[in-house]
Amino acid sequence: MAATPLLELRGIDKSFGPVQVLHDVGMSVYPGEVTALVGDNGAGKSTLVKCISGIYTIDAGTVLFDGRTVTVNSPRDAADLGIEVVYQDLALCDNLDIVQNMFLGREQKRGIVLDEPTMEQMAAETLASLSVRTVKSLRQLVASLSGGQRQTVAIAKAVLWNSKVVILDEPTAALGVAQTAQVLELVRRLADNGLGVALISHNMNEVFAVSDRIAALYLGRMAAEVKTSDVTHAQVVELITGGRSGNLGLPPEGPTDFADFMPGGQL
Amino acid sequence: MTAVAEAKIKRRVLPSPVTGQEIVLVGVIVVLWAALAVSTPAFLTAGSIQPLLVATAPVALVGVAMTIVIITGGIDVSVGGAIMVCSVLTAKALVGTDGVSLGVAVLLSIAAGGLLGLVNGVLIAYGRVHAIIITFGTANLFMFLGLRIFGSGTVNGIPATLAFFGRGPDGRTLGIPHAFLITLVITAVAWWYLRHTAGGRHFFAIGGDAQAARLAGVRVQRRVLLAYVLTGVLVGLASCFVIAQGTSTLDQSVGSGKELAVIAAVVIGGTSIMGGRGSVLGTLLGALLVQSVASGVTQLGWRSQLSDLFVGIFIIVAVGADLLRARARRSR
Ligand SMILES: Nc1ncnc2c1ncn2[C@@H]1O[C@H](COP(=O)(O)OP(=O)(O)OP(=O)(O)O)[C@@H](O)[C@H]1O
Ligand SMILES: [Mg+2]
Repeated sequence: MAATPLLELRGIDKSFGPVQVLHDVGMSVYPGEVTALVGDNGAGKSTLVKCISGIYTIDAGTVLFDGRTVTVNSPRDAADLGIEVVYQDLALCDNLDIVQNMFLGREQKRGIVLDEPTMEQMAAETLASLSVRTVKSLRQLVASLSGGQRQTVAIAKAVLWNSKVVILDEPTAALGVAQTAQVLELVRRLADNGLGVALISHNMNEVFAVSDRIAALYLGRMAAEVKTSDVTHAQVVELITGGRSGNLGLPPEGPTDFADFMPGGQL
Repeated sequence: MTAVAEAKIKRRVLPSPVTGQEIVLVGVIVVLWAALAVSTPAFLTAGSIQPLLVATAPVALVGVAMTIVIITGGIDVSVGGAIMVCSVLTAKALVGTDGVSLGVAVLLSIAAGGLLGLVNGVLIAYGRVHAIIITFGTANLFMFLGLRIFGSGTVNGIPATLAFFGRGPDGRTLGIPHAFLITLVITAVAWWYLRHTAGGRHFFAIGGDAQAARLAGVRVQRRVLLAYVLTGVLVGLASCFVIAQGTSTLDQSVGSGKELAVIAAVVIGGTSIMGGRGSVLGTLLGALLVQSVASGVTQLGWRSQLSDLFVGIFIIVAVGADLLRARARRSR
C-alpha cells in the first residue's frame, strides 16, 4: 500500500565502546501498518529503538521521517517530530497519578499554572478513544495499577499527542492472557487509525496476529524485512535464530566472511 | 463515553491540599502548647512565643529547600557547614567602621550560599555519585573553609545591622517576628510552586523515577542543580537570621549540627526520605514542633537531653508512618 514509509532507517551503526551492537541496519515503518520488530535476546532491538528516540546517538546512518532526513538528539526531539516510544522498562513514575504521568514533561498550562481540568479532560478523552474502561479514576496513583493498566497508561501517553509513529518495546511481556489481548487490540487500533506502529515482540502468535510486516534482527544486522502474509512461523523463527531462511535473510557465511576476521588466515 | 469523561472532570480529585501528617502535626503542636500553657503559665505569652518563632525560622527556611532536595531523591548534609561559611563571611563584612548595610549583607550571604549550593548541585547533577556522598564531602570542605575564614576563634563586635531579623523589638511587626514571617511567605510560595507548576511536579517525578522522568522529557539534571542552588540561597538567608539571633560575637560552633535539625524537621513533616513525596508545609510544622519541644523542656527545667529524646521518638514515629503508608499504597 503506502509508498513512502513514515519512518525509515538507513545504514544505522551503533557501538558501545568496542562492542558494535548495530551493523548497517535499515528498517521502514509505514502509516496504517504494524511492523513487528523481532529478534533474539540481545539482537539489538531495544538499542535500535533508543537510537530512534534519541536516547543514544547513532554512529552512522540516516533517519528519515516522512521522507525527510532528520536528526534526533533527545526524546524531546523525537516527540516533536511525532515519534512516541513505549519503553520495555515501563517509563512511568509510581508516585504520580495517571494524568500526571500522561502529561509528564509536557504539562498543559494556563500562564505558568498547571491546567488540571484540561489535562484531565484530554486524558479522559484519549483513554476513551482507545476504549479503555479498566481504570477507575484518573487520579489513581500509577503504583496502584495492574501491569496491563500501566501498559495502557503508557500507550495512552504515547498517543495523546497526535503522534504519527508509535514504537512499543515488548508491551505484552509482563502481561496475562486477557491483558495481552487487550493491549494487542489497542496496538491494532492505533494502526487502523493511520499511525505507523512498530511492535517489538518475542511471541510469534502475537506477531502474526497483529502485524502487517516483519523486520528480523539477527546479531545486530537486519536479516530480512518481509510482509507477514508472505512468510510462515517457521521461516520467521529461522530468521531470528539463524539470520536466514531459504533465500531470505543474510547471505550464508562463506569463506569471505571469515577472511574479514582472519586476514590471510587458513580455513 | 463523553458522559464518563465529563463525570470524571467534574469530580476533579486532586490530592488534598493538606496531608494527614500535617493535620496530626497541628494537633500535636496544639496539645503540646496547651500542656505547656497549663504547666508554665508564662509559655503562652508573647515573650515566650516570639523567641520560639525566631528560633524556628532558620531551620524551617532551610527545611523548605531540603524538602525539595529530598523529594528529588537526594539529601544535603552540608547545610551546617554552608551556614558556617555564610555566617562568618557575613559577620566579618558587618564588623568595623565601614561595615556593610543590611541589604548588602543579605545579598552577600545569599550569593555565598548560592555558590556553595552550585558546587553541590553541579557535582550531584552531573557527577553520577549519590548526593549523600557528595554533600558529606563538601560538608567537610565547607567547615574547613569556614574555619579558615574565622582565622581566630571568634568574630567580635558584630553591630546590630541585622536587627530586622532578630529577637528585639526591631525584629517584629505587629508582634510577629520578621524572620518567621519571611519563612512563612517563602514556605507558602514553595508550597504553591510544588503543587501548581510543571517545574514543581518535575521535582516529584525525579524522586519517583528519574529515568522515567528523563524519558518523558524532564530536564532532570537542570532540576536537580536548581534544588541544590536553592538550598544554598536559603542557607544564605537563614545565616542572616542566625547572626541576628545571636550576640555580638559569633563563634566557631555556628551551623554545627544544623543539617540534622533540618532533616529532622523535614522527616517529621511527613516527607518521604525515599523521595517522590513530601510537603514544605509539613516541614514548617515539623520545625515548629521540634523547637516547641526544646523550648518546653527548657521552661519546665528538664534536662535538655530529653528534648533530643523526644525529637528522636518523633522521627521514628514519622518514618514508621511513612513506611506504613508506602506499604498501604502498594497493596491497594
Ligand atoms: N548501554 C549499553 N552499553 C553496552 N552494551 C549494551 C548497552 N545496551 C545494550 N547493550 C548490548 O547490546 C546488545 C543488544 O541489546 P538490546 O537491549 O538492544 O537487545 P534486545 O534485542 O532488546 O534484547 P531483549 O529481547 O532481551 O530485550 C546486547 O548484547 C547488550 O548487552
Ligand atoms: Mg529489549
